[in-house]
Amino acid sequence: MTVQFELPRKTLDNILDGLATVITGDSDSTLDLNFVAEESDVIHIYVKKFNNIQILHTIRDGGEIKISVDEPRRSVFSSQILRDVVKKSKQERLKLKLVDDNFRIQVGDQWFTQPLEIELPLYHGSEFQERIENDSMEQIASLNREHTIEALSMMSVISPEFGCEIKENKLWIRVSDTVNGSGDVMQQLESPPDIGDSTFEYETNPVLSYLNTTTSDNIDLYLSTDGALKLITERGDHSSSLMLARRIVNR
Amino acid sequence: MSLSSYYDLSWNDSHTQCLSRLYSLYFDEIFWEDQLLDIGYNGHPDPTYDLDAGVSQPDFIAYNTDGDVQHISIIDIDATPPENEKELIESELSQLEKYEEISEEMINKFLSLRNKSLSVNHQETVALVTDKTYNNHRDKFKSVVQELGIILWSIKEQDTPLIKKVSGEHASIELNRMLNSGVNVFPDGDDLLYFSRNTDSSLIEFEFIQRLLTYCSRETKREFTFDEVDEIMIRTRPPMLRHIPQNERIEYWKEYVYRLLNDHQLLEQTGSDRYQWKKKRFTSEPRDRKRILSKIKDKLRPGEE
Repeated sequence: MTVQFELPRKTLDNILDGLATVITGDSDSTLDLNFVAEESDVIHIYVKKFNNIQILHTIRDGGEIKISVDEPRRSVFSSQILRDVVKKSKQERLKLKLVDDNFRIQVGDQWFTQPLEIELPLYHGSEFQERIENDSMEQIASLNREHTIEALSMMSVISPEFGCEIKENKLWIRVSDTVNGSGDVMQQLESPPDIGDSTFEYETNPVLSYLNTTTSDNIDLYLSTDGALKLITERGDHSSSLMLARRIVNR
Repeated sequence: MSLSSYYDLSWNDSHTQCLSRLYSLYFDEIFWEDQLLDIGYNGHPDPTYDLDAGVSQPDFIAYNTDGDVQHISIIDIDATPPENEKELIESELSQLEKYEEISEEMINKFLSLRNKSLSVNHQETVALVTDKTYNNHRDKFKSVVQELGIILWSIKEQDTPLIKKVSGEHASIELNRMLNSGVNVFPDGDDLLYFSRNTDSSLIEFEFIQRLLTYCSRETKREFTFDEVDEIMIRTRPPMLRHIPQNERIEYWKEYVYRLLNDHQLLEQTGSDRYQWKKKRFTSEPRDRKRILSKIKDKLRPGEE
C-alpha cells in the first residue's frame, strides 16, 4: 500500500494554500483534505464544503511530476502540519510517500550523510467524501487569469459578491451595490452558449483566493443550467478546478 | 417637558419647527378653529421642481382648487442683526426670485406624487420670517420684498404662535383677509414634522443610526438589506422624511449607510445591498448599543450647527 509522488515544492505549496483558504474560510469548522490515488498514476486532492464549493487538484505522472501508485487508495487527512512543513522547506522538489497511515516526506538534500526524512501520521476529523463530478456543464469562455483577478479584486471593494450574466452572446461579470457603486466587464463569446441568457450570483472571495493560488495563464469558465460555476486551470501535469454553487439569498 | 432624548434633538432645529407650524395651517388630519384649510387651501412641505437651471426647492407649496398657488420659503436669519444684515437679507430673499420659473407642469409633476393635479391660475412667492427677525430689520425687509414683489409673512412666538402677513397683497381676498388679522397655528403644530429637507443633517444622521440600531436589536437581526432601510425609517414613529419623494429620501439613506460602513465602521457588507453590524453584540447587548449611540452623538454633535 504505497503511493509515491515527487513534485516541485512550489506546486504542492500552492495546492495546499489554495485548499486551505476554503478549509479555514470564515467558518469555525475545520475540513480535511480528501486524497485519491488511482492505478493510472493519477492523484486527486480536494476539499468540499457542504455542497456549495469544491476545489480539486489533479496531478499526473509526466514531466515535472512523478507518480507511482502500487495500489489505488483513498484517504482523508488534516493538512495543517503537512502544509507548515512544506512551507519551511527550501527545496526545489519534494518527494512524498504515503505508506499505510503515514506521510513520509523526503528531501533530496545531499549535504547530510543521511538526508532529512519526516514522518507524519495522518489525522482526520471528518469522513472521506466523494468528489462532485458535474458533466452537464458547458464551457462558456476562456479568460485571462491575471486580468480576471484584477477585475474581481477591484469589484470586491464594491460588493463581496459578483454576478455572471450571459446575454446576447456576451458574458458580463458585474458587481453592484446601492450604496457603494457598480461596475462590469464584458467578454464577447464566439458562439451563443446552449445555456441561453442567464444570470447567477457568486461569492467573490473563494474565486479570488482560488485564482491567486493557481499559476496558469488562462482559466476556462463553465456554467450549468442550475447556476453552478466551474473554473478550470491546466498547467502541464497539474490541473485544478473550482466548483461553486450560485449564491442564493433569502430576502 | 419632553421625556425622550428624541425631543431634545429635534427641538434644536428651528427651521423644521417653523415649517411644522406652517404645515398645521393646511393639515387636514387635525381639528383646529383657525386653518387656511377652511378656506380651501391645501399644502405640502418640501416640494421639488426641475427647472432648466437645476432643481428648485421652496419649503412649502400652498394652493386652492381655483389654482391660486403660494410658494413659501422660510428665511433663516438670526434675530440679532449681523454686521452685513442688509446684504444678507437681500441675498436670502433674492434666492426666491427663481420661483417665478416654476411652471404649471412642474407643479403637477410634484403633485402627481400625491395623486393630485391642479390647473394653475396665479402664483405668489411668500417669505416667512420670525417676528423677532422681522422687527429687527423691518425697513430693510419692507424695501426688499417690495422691490422683488414678494409677500412677507411673520410668525410670532407666543403661547399659540401666530402667522400673519406683514407686507404685500394676496390675489385672493379671503386669504388676504385671514392673514391680515393673523392665523393661530395648531398648539401641537410642532409635532407634525420632525425632519425636513433643511434639517441639520447631523440630526437626521444620528436619528437614522439610532433607528436602524434599535430596530435591529428589537428584531434580533444582525443583517439587513438596503430595501429594508427605507421601511424602517418611515415606519418608525414619527416617520422620517416620508413627505419627500422616495428617490430623494433614498439618497440620504445611501449616504448614511456609506458612512456607517466607511467612517463610523460599524457595518460591513455581506453581499450586494446587504449589510450587517460588525459585531453581533452591537445588536444583542443593550450596553453596546448605548455606548455606540453616545459615541456617535459625540462625533456628530447633532443640533449644534
